Amino acid sequence: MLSPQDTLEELSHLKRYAIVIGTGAKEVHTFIDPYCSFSQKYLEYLYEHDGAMLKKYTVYLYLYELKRKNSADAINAILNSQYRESLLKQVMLNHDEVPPQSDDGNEKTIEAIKVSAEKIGVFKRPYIIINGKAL
Amino acid sequence: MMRYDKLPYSAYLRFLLHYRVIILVLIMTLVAGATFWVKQEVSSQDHQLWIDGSKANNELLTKHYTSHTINKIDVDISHKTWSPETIHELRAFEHALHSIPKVKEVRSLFSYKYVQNSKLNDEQQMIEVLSLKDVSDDEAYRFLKDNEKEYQKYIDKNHISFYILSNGSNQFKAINTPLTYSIHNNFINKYFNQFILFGIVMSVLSLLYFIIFRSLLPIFLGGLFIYSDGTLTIAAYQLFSAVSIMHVSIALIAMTISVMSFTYIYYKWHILQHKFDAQFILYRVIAKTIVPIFWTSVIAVVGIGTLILVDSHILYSIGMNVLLSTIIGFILSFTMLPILLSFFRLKKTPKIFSQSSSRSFASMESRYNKKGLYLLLLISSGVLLYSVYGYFMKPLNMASNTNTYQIQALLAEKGSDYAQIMQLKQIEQQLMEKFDTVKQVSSAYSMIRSIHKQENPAESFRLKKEDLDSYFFLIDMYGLEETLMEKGRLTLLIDLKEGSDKTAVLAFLRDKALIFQDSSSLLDLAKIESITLLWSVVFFVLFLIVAVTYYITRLVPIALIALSVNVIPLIWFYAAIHFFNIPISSEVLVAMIVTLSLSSDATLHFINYYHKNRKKPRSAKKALEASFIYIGTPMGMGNFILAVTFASMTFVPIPMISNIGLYSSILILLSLITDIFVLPVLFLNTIKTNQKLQEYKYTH
Repeated sequence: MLSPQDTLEELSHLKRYAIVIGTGAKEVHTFIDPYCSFSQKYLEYLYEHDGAMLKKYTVYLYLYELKRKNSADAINAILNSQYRESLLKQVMLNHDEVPPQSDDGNEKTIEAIKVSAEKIGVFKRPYIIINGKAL
Repeated sequence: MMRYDKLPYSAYLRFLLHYRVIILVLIMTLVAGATFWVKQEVSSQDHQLWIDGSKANNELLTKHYTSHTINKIDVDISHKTWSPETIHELRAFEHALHSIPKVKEVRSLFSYKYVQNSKLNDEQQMIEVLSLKDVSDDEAYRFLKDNEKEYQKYIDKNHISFYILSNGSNQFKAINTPLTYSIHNNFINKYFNQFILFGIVMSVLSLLYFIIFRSLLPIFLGGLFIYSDGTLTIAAYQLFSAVSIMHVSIALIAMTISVMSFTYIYYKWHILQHKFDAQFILYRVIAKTIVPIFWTSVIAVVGIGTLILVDSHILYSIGMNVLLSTIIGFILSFTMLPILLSFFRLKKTPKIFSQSSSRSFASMESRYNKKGLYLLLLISSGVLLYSVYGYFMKPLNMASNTNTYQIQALLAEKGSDYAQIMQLKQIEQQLMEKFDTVKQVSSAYSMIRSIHKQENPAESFRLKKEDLDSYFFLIDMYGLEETLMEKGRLTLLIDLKEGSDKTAVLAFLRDKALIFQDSSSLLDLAKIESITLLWSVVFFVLFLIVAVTYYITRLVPIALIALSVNVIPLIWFYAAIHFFNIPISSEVLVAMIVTLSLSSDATLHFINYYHKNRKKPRSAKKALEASFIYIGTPMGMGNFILAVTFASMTFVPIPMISNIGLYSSILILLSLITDIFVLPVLFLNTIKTNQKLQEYKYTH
């Protein structure tokens, strides 16, 4: 487990692999699995109230698979998409099916998220981090 | 008979009598005009008068918030089986409540937010803030069965409570529901026709005037005088007052002042009927009454009238009424009343029963028991000490008008930083330590604590500054900001146990940099705020009585006597309030002001007369006898009339008016007893010998 300071340092490198939603001043980092029902609820809450949350916060979403959810294909599809946020919403909020996709080009992203998540000690989804501390 | 045309006031009397028809027509035209012009009825609801202009309400308005009323509705479920169907009916009931006009928010078991750690397994879990509004009836039923304690604010064995927040006071019409419910309404607008009230008062007054004077003339003249003073006062109030509402109790204070003036003047005129010619009688009436009436008017105007300088609408209203009524009463007493009296002459003067009893009374009191007097003064000193102890040491017991034991407030400082959250924590901790009547404090701090408890059940809660952002992220995510904050300020909702002393909690909270929002708390705070000011008025009036007495007599012992006789009834009354733990209400304060203005009246008349008599070559007993006949009788008569009149008000079906009636009649009787039994004896005890006779001159 990393200290809050080290977690922030780790996340500053990981940021570029995130799907970023919102434009707010405060940064929130969250590890999610697209098929995890709590991650789906979490996303739903973020988009509620006409996106008020997203005006206040910038949320970095890291797709990190829960083994029991078999979400690798969905993660690949979202990461491959030109419109990541849109597909993320389709998968997680509308529960749309996604066709199996190759993980071409995504290995680096998936691996980087996995390494950082293990370092930070991510054990659940959604795993929300604010100011380097998990919620 | 001596010549009086060179004496003071005689020129004025000649002028008055010369132009009496013109002056009377002028006054009556003014009264008739005022009768038609006065358009507003006096109000018997005082809560808005208390709230308006109060410090707490001004603070609320300055910060651009509006007050709201909280009403509690209890649904009786004692005959129902607790089931999903009951939940369904209660949900429909809440829906019906939302459709009531002016309703802003309904707080219930459905809107209550609870925090839980939702968990599918160790890998999938999340802290959630939920409400029963979002779940099915079956789920809600199951959840409530498992978490009954969490909902103790809304559920007890037999009732389900709903709290309704309305803009302004709400009059609830029947709610379309099969459920049985009861509404705890804080401000019941029970209609009572003021004409009936004033009808009762005037009838009792007329009856007593007839019994005492055995003539219809005082009923006619008294009725006309009191009506003219009252009508002109109300008209002047509506013309000059910055506050448009006039409360019925304030109109009654104004009325008492005119009753006393009329009684003194009419009595003096009545008993002189068989002695002198009509004009000389009028001269003596003016000469003998103008000085004490002038000084009592000064005391009323300066002492109570200065309340117009304060922001509080109720105090302003009392001050304005007393000021106008006193000034108008004084003017009418020495214009309209002598003119009216000049048209009449009693051929047969019915003897007043008190006249002969005054002699025996004076004789009895001249043989007073010194030990008894000292004992009374000693006991009264003890009572005074007890009252002082009670004032400073005992918690304030103020009558609260509320049936809803909730206090809603905002932090005065904007923002939701660590400092503000810590302020909420401190207030909650202090409340819980100091008052065992506080059931629950709901705020952003308590919400954060609930989240922490769900996150780390085994860990004790200590909020760190760096964790605040995380908690506020959840607060934002679950849309809790609208209940925990309002226009950038954190809110605080305090739930008290039923029947607890809400004003004690408010008195504690008022120094905590809070903005109070609910009307009933604003009302109670306005009363707490006013009570200090009204005490200052009481002390100021007492000081004025002493100062005026000294100015008239130039004798310190008499000034001290004046102070004693005015203080004694008040401290006995106040001590009784503390001893029996009677809550201090606006009614008590109004009663104290009524009595103080009356007793100062009596004291000054008595002292003025007795002091002048002691300058004459008369024995103390003779001077006392004359004082009793000329002053003691109308004083006792006036006080007795008012005590009976106020006592008759106890039958009025509005609690506030009946309480004013009760407290005022008790206090007036106490004051009367002091004036009749203590004041003369104190004179006899203190002023042993006549003053230098060379000082004496016939002042008629």
